[in-house]
Amino acid sequence: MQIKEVEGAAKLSRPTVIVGVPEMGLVGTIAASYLIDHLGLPEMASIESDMLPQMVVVEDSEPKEPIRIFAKGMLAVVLSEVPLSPRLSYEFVSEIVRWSKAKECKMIVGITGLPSEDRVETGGDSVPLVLAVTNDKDLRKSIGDIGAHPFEHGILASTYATLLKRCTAMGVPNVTLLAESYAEFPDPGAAAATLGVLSKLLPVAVDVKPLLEGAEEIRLRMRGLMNQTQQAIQAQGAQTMPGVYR
Amino acid sequence: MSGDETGDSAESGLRAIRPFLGGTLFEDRSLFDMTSRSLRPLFKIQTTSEAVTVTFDLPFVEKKDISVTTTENTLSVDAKMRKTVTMRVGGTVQRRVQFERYTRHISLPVRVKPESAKATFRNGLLRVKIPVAKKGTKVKVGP
Repeated sequence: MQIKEVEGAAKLSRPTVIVGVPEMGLVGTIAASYLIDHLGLPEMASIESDMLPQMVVVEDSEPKEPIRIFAKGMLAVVLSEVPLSPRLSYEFVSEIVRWSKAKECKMIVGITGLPSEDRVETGGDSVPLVLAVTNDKDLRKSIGDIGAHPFEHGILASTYATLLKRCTAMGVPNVTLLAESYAEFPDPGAAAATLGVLSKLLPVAVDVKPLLEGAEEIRLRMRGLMNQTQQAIQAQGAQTMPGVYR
Repeated sequence: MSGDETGDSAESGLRAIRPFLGGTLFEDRSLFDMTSRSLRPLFKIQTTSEAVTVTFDLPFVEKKDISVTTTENTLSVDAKMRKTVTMRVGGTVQRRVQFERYTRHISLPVRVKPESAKATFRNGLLRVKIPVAKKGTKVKVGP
């Protein structure tokens, strides 16, 4: 697996690296996609691997890799359009952490969902809570200041657990944001909640109003990826499900 | 057909997500039915000793346009969307097809009491809760 940068890719300045891959409620994928468009981030690199599904994403007649990095200035967003198998997930995370460290990144932020039966029962009426877990002592002290709640006890599994572990091993600060979300349905509301917290970590503001206004359209259009992601999660077993003890 | 027809205009309104999710533009084959020209909604089933609860994701649906029917071992949903949507369907070569409703017929994992079913609908999530027909028989633990 390797990250291949586009010709003439802009130089980054101690970027914060955001990672969004398809998991619970597609929270990370929706948040990452929205950031890329909202901030007008250009494509900077793609990930090439013989472990990726044999597919390309065709956009306006141009073939693209399903995992790409969009970046500008102090921000880079890594977006996967395919669910990651455990083996692919490990290689993906290792490469992203290595690349981020080479770019002298400020931190890596993972965004995902925390399945919440309350959210399903209320039809997503309330603003979902966002929990945060970090490997950085200073960041841990400021979790409340950014509008998140500390993830005090529980289990974090899946790609984001691997990301947190690799970051710790490589000495890279990591924050993982988990919003209460639907597990089986795309959840733009949960993605918006994570972006609310994220905007306090970033040097730029993120207006989530268009995301919330387009929520129904997103839920409709992302059914296919949600379905594929659910199948991948079920194939991997319950280990991918984050759990919080309260 | 009622409401706004969306098609390309609705897709372009989704610029925030679309350009980066090419795979999602093409509808998963298991998520539509060409015969009835309907979309199959995502759903999940939760079963306890007391009840079966089925939740459906129905964006662009109003409560008044939902029809739910249940038997002792099946549940069917038919819901009209408030606007027509255009999805790309097919295999390698895609074509655009318009849909204006969701339909889904599912087999339930246990026998239920259809006459006692209750349904709620909030923000596009339909939840149908049906008591199971026969609860487990208690087994006495002997010496």
